[in-house]
Formats: sequence, structure tokens, C-alpha cells
Amino acid sequence: MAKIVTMIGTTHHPWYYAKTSKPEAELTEDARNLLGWSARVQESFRSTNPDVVVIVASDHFHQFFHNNMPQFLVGRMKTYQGTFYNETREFDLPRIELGGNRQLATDMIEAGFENGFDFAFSDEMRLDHACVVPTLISQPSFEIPVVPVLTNCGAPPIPTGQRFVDLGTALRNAIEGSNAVDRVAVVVSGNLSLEVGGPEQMMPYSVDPEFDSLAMDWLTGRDFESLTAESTYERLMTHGNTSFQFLNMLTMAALHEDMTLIHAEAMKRRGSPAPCFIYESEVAG
Amino acid sequence: MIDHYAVNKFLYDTDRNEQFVRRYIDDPDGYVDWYFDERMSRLLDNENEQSAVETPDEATRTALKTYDFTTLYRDGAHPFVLWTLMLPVIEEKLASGEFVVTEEPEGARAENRKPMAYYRERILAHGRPDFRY
Repeated sequence: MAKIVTMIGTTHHPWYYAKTSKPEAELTEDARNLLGWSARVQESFRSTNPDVVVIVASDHFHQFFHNNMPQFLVGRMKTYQGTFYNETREFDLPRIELGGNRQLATDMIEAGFENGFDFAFSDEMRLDHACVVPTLISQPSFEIPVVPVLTNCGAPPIPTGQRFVDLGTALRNAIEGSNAVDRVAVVVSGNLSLEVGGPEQMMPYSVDPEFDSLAMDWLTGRDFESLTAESTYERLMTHGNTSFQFLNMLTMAALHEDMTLIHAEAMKRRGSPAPCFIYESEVAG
Repeated sequence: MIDHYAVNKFLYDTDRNEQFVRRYIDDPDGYVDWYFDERMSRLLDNENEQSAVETPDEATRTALKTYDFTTLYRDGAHPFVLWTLMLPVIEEKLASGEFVVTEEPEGARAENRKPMAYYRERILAHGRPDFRY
């Protein structure tokens, strides 16, 4: 049976690559902080040695659109290519290629069916920056295969906060019920308050620092009552029009159960802070 | 009121296609008419087949032809796809001098500072419109 050995909650800041791939002397404080975060995550990967990475990330109108909108989708490919024309154009993101794990993905889908969680699935997809950036952060060598789990955090009607909590439980059970691999890393990609294409976009302060602070407390305290009550469309909109990706962090909070909290930080940035979490399991060997 | 699905499909479908973005910047009148007359009702995953999707009214076409993102934003176009398509438009128009930034917001981050300023100045009065439909 597979074991979740490490779980990462991380930003998918789209300019991560553009900021951090500069010569040392040209790195901004923000870039140095992001590289510091990457070093922590890579160390967790080294010490826990996962066979596969399950990435929970929001689709940004790349795989999904309103003509055909799944809410939770598991990728089942043997190989994934990453990023799209509009993301290389806007963010200078590199095009990447990653292995997949079709058996684990299929096991997860079937376990979902048996436990009341009907995942959509895809045998042909590309990954956008919500998967690519966490991969650059956690394994820039792209050596470890992935299973992407894409969520709808952007196209209303958006599933309830409770459903994202349920997703965490379903994923844990599904992963632990699979014999496809031994050691699994889960990387959850999301944000706190955030605005894209709205009045507070890219401003040099957080959209809603009070929410950021409360949200970190709710997540570390696994306060699911507050997390779900505060995760409606109306409530999240008050913290920025892209705060819905916070919902993925509810999945993270539900997933970790008895794992040990190694690191929890709202990384200070010139914009909204970035959620940074590491949980690990004690696993013999 | 705009037709939300039609506008969002236009934004989404255009933004992900380099040739479409080029045509929208170079010839907005021709491209917008072509899009709604020829492509709008084509299924995204089967261009040989059409759906009964409604095409938008003249006001919506005019807003898209004139890059009037203020109206589209106010009326609930999806803010993410609206911004991501308007960004390359604004970048080019600023570079050519057709658009002008009057005031860069102090402290706005370096990435996309000028396009962001141009965009922000024109949507600020509308806060965060509800983009459900």
C-alpha cells in the first residue's frame, strides 16, 4: 500500500521561473525567498524519497472551459508536457516534460468511484503553470513522475469548501489504497488572498492581510468549520477575485491527518503572501 | 448586458492561439466579425460540428472590436481571461503609442507595470463585479 511521505502546500507564482533564473547578482529579495522555499521543498523530497508526486492544482482555463467543465479531474497520461503559448508569452515559462503514472492515476479514480467521489479523467492533457511552477520548485530535474489532479477554482459555479475537504480525504484513501507505488509526495498548489485582472492586481501589498493571517491559522489548526464557512463565492470574492484557489489549501488541510508539520509560513512578498507548508510522515526506511 | 458565454469563449479561444491574438491586434473589426460569424458556434473539440450557442449582440461585438474592456469587465466577463487577452493587446498598443499611460501607480510591481496601470485605471471604478452568470 502506498504511503504519503511528504505533503507540500505551495504557491504557483507564475513569474517564479523568470524571477529565479537570473544571475545571482540580479536576484531580487522576492526571488531569493522563492529560491529558499524551493531549497526547503527539495530537501524534503530528498529525505522522503517519493516514487511519484500527486499534484493538486487549479486549471486556469487551459484544460477546462465552460463548454465542458469537470470539477475534479485526474490525469492518466504516461508523459505530460507543460505550459501553453499564452504562459510562455506572459511569464517566460519554460516548456517542460514530465513522466506520469497511469496505474496510480487509475487506482485513484477507481477508489474515488467506490467512495463517493466521481473523478473526471483525461488521457490527453497539458499542464499549466499551476502544475509546472510547483514542479520547478519541488523537483527542477523533473525526474519523478506525476499524477495531476486538476480542480475547478475559477469557473463558477465552483464546488463548496466542504467538497474540497472531501477531496483531501478521498485522495488520501485513494493513494493509500493503491499498490502501484510505495512512496508518494503530494504537492498542493494554491494561494491566500489574490487578485488577477481586478483592481488590486499586482499591487505591492496583500489584497487582504487579515484574511491571509486568519487563513493560515485555520489551516494549521485544521479549523474546518471556519475554512468551509469562509470559502463561499461571496466570502472569497471579498479577498480578491482569484482567492478561490485557496480552496485547494482546504484539500491540503484535510489530507495530512497525522503527518508532522515541518514548516508553515505565509511567505512575505511585495504582493499577497505565498502559502508555504511542509508535512512529513515518519516512514521506516 | 453582454452574453457571458460568448464573450468568455471569445477571450479564452483567442488568447490560447498565437495566430488569433495576432489577428485580433491587427484587425479587430475583421477578426471579431469572423469569430462570431464563423467560429463561435463551432465545437471547441470538433470544428466540423456546430452547436446552437447564441451569438452576441452588436454592443458586445463593438466592445470587443474597440478593446472596450471596461464595459466587458463591468458587465461580468471573466476577469482572468479578460486580463490575459487584453494584456498582449495593451502591450502592443502602448509600444506603438496608440495607448498612453497617464500615471503609473506608485509601487505597482515591475512585471507588466505599464499595461497594468492602463488596465487598472479603466476598471477601478467598477470594483469586483460578480462574474457568475
